[in-house]
Amino acid sequence: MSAWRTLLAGLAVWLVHFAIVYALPSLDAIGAAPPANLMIVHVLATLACLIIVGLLVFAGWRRGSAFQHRIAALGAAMAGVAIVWQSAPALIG
Amino acid sequence: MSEGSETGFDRSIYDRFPTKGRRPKGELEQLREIWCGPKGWQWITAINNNFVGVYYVGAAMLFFVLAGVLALVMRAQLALPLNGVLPQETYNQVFTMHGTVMMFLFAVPAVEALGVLLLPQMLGARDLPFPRLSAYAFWAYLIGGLAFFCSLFFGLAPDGGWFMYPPLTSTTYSPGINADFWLLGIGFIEISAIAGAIEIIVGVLKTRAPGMSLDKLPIFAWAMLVFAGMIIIAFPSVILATTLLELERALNWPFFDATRGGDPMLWQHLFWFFGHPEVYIIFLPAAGAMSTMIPAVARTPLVGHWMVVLAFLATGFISFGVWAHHMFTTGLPGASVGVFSAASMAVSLPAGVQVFAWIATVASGKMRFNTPGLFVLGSLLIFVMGGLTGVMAAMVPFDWQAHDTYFIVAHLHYVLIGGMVFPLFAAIYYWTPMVSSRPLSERLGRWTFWLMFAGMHLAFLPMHLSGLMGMPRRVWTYAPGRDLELPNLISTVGAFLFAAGVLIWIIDMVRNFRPFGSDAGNVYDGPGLEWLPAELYSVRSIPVVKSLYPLWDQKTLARDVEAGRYFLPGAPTGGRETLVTSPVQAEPQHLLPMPKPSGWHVWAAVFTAGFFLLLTVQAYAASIVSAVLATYCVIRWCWFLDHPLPQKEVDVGAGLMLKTYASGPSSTGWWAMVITLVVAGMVLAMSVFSYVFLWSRSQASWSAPIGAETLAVAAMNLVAVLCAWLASRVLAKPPRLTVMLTVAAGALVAGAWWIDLKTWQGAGLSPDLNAQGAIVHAMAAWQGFFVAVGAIMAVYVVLRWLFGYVGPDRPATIQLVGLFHAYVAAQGLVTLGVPRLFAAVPA
Repeated sequence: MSAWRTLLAGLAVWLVHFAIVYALPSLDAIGAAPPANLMIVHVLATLACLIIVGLLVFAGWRRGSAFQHRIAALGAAMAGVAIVWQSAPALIG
Repeated sequence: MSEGSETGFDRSIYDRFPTKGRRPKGELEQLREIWCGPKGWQWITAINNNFVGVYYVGAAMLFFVLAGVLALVMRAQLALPLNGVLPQETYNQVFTMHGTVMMFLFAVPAVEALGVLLLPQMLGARDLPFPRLSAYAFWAYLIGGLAFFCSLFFGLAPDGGWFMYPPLTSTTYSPGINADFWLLGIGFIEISAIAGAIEIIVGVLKTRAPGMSLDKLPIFAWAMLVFAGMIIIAFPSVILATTLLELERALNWPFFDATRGGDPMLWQHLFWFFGHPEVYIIFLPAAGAMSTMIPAVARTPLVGHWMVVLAFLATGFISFGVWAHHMFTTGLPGASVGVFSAASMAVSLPAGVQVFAWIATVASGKMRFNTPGLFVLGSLLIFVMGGLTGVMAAMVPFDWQAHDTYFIVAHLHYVLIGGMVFPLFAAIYYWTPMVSSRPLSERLGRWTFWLMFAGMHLAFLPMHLSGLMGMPRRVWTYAPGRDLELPNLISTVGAFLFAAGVLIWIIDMVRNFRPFGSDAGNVYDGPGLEWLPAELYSVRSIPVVKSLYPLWDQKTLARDVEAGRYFLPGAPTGGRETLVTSPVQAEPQHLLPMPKPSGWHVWAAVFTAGFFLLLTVQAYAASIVSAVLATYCVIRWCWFLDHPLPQKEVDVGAGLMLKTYASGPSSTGWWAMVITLVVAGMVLAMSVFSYVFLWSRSQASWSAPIGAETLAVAAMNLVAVLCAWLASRVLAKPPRLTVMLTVAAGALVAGAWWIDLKTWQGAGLSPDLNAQGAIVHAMAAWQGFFVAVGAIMAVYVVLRWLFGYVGPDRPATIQLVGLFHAYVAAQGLVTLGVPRLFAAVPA
């Protein structure tokens, strides 16, 4: 299973980030928390996810040129781009 | 042990292959005899993928033609304004059936069928690990699909559109049983799709030829793996949605009724959480087929193979983050709309990677413009056009204008025809020589392509225009004098031109398709293992794979495989069997004995279909009888599994001895059970989502009974987990102890479920009272279903004990039943905890 975890970790972070940025507007819609607090959570979650995928890219690239390491690193890099992209609407406003 | 080995396997053993010397006399004849197909009327009991795969593709194409005929009827109606070909009510049924049949009975089954047909040969396996499951999935699909389609002839076909939005489909606006046919029929057919997906996942992960590590896994197998994984995650959502709507219609439980706290938006979330990934579920196998065929027709390796694999994986993930782009006009919060719009655009990145990889491969090779080549290029063009309008529709302001117009009809047909139909036709032309003694005609193939290509653009290009001019989708007719006449007439002409292409293909199939005998050979010089010489036993011997394109790079492979110089050249156990390998490095682990043809899976499919169909026509007693018979057939089917062979170890070639029995994570049965439980867990997860969604939309606060019973239910479930875990660990003791622990686990989860249900009812919550009552009882019903299955399993274990089939030499059944009981107990804790947790928090 560890090979699969390595392979899919970056993409999983992307998915988790998506779930967070989907949930936050829904919480806002039902008035669960002040919008400013939700925005802080959004920024922190985005930064945390970016740091994690950054580490995954670094780790994947360092572990060698084997298929699953390269796919893991590239997948994490793609997840990083997507995380920035899907955060943009809320952050830019 | 080799360095980096996954299982401790010594990879230097691969150097013993190909073996030298002649194979024993009679070995090949024995293989032929063991794997021969059933004769005469028993053809329906066949389980070899060579048979079932062909039946499956054939049935899918039958539904394609039937749904296509419905499209022609619609286009005839819309050719002229105020036309009278169809009454309005019938038109509603026809467009609903067209969409439903194309999406549920053609697109997904067709690609699944392609997987069943191609994967064993591509992976170098004798067959997929559960051939009877594939056959069951096929028969369930065919019987259910035909019965569903026939509802049209009785005026009972559903008429609420292929996504069946409530409140239109509630009993108030859709009385009668038309909508029930859709809800029960589709729910049933999805079970067949999930069965096929389990087969494909376990097959790709566990039955690859030795040496076929992930970097050498054929690109089609990668696509099928992601596809099947997506089915496992996405389809439970539509199973839950259809169940909830059917419960609302049959029992008046108000999930979607806003007057009693329900919300029709819940349906849209559940449906599109399935519905949008469905598009990629259809597209990915087709993309895998494209990525396999393009190197062959362009005579060069796929450019960016790794990136294409990554694109498949990325598509699989992000496709679950775009469901709400079908809901931009429903009043979602602005921030949510922004997120989904961004995700919808992001999904075009992996799609773009694939398209550019294909273009680069075509450009860098020496393209052959034969029929598969033409369909591949046509697909590229059409899919890119559909993709571009998809990016347009992902922009919210544009979507607000184009939503529910013919622009969207044009977009979705460009995507689906370019992304799936044309690749499927390319695949049919490309792989027919593998399964038929004659290839399809090149001349007729070109006619088919050009007619379909021209017809497709003529039919759907003008729809962009009619949509932008304001023509809404699903209208029965339109008024004259609004400039809609010409684009509609052109669309109708195009549809008939497209149909003419399909008709020529049918003629070609009738003239040339000759399956189940010899094959026409590798006429396109394909590089994959599927082009090795094969018979009903698949390949004569299972090769060691050293390359992504083995037939191009291992020049003597075909000759050595045919001479039996690799793994499993004979049948060492005297029965059907295949190699099981590890999921990452594909190292040999053990031998998997496989079943012979029998009728139990066919009868199980017949009675399962009977259960759902009889339920639809409200013949409840008969449907219960059918369910009991289906259960009996499944038990008979399973009864002869988990029987260790007399030979504990056998020589699978070059002196390598492998075990003939396995249990736990190295066995295929364990993987299948885990995947099944993931499906169940996804239904549970979507139920929790539904609970939270309805709770968040509720005007009144929700309460829940919390007391000593809550603790008792939790404790019973925890003890059940312990019993289930212990059952397989005491197998070395007298079997009675194992059986008692298994029965205790089943009894505890049943008791916990009963107490929890009674506690809710004691608190005054009835299922038809409000949305909370409905969703709490729906979760309880889901748990009750699992409790019932767990009870059947416990009885099954008792029966096996009485027959002397429980013991330390055969732990698999006990392990799997224990795994199931542990899951049911964990699920019981969730259904206990979630409603109480959210009831404690004000919405």
